[in-house]
Amino acid sequence: MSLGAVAGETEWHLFGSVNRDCPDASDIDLMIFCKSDAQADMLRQAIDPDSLSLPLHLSLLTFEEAAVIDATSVQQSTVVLRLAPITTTKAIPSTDT
Amino acid sequence: MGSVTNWVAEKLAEDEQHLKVVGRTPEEFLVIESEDSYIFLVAVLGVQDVVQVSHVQPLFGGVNKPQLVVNVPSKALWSGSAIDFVHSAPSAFGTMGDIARAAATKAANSFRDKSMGFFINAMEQHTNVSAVSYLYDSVFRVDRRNGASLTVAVIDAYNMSAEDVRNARTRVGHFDVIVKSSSYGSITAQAWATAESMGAQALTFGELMKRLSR
Repeated sequence: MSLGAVAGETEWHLFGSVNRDCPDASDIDLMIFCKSDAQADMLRQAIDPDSLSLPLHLSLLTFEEAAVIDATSVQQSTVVLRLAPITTTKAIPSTDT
Repeated sequence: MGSVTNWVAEKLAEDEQHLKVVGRTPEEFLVIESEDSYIFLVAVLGVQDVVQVSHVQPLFGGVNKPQLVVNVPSKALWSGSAIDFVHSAPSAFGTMGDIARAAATKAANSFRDKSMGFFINAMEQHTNVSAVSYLYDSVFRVDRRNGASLTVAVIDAYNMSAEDVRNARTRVGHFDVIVKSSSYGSITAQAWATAESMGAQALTFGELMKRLSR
């Protein structure tokens, strides 16, 4: 599964020790806000936590959940990525006869 | 086992955890030295789904025994029986990220995940609990003196979201209670509702302690 294909309209937030530039950070705390439950589930499948130099601590929330618990303020997170909607291009039928 | 062991050795060489791979045993265990000269053996498994006793047993049949067994990918589960076997060796289990944590203890075979250790101790000390056993690395069967046994899934999250609950169900199957490891943060209304739709409860640590009484 391609990450790009499922990550449209998401917002990625770093928090914790890496976000504070701590020299002894032992893991990467990342929150991703998603537009739907299905998108959150697909991102969980698509992201490989072993691909980074430090262990990844990943939280996936919908924008609605994040807003209600005020996740950005509580976690003092920084937006590191805001992805645009994925545009899909329909295949144009061949005009060859 | 060779390629995944090489991958871990390369990762350790790249990062700045102050660990060096100084050799390999004939069993292909990594000989790791920390910057304060603590040396220990790490066995690397590459089990994709669930680490079982049959995966770990052969690691302890040779001359050298690993003090720590790690599995890649870290998403894979460890079965309770595999964990019990490793602990009885005595040894420790974990993920690649745990190698540095185990090194810091200077007794790698006694390394235990801090947050899980906290939960196990707290549940074992509960007056209505007679036994706590691992089903998976973050899922426990809790036998109670009064009341039925409960299956408790612990998630490593500051805030518990609905996705955390669904992901736990997909990975470990049935649980009665899902609890987050951090005492701080929130459980979203959606997480609570998702758990309820599965016939389970999403609880904080304090709520779990009360639930064990009832």
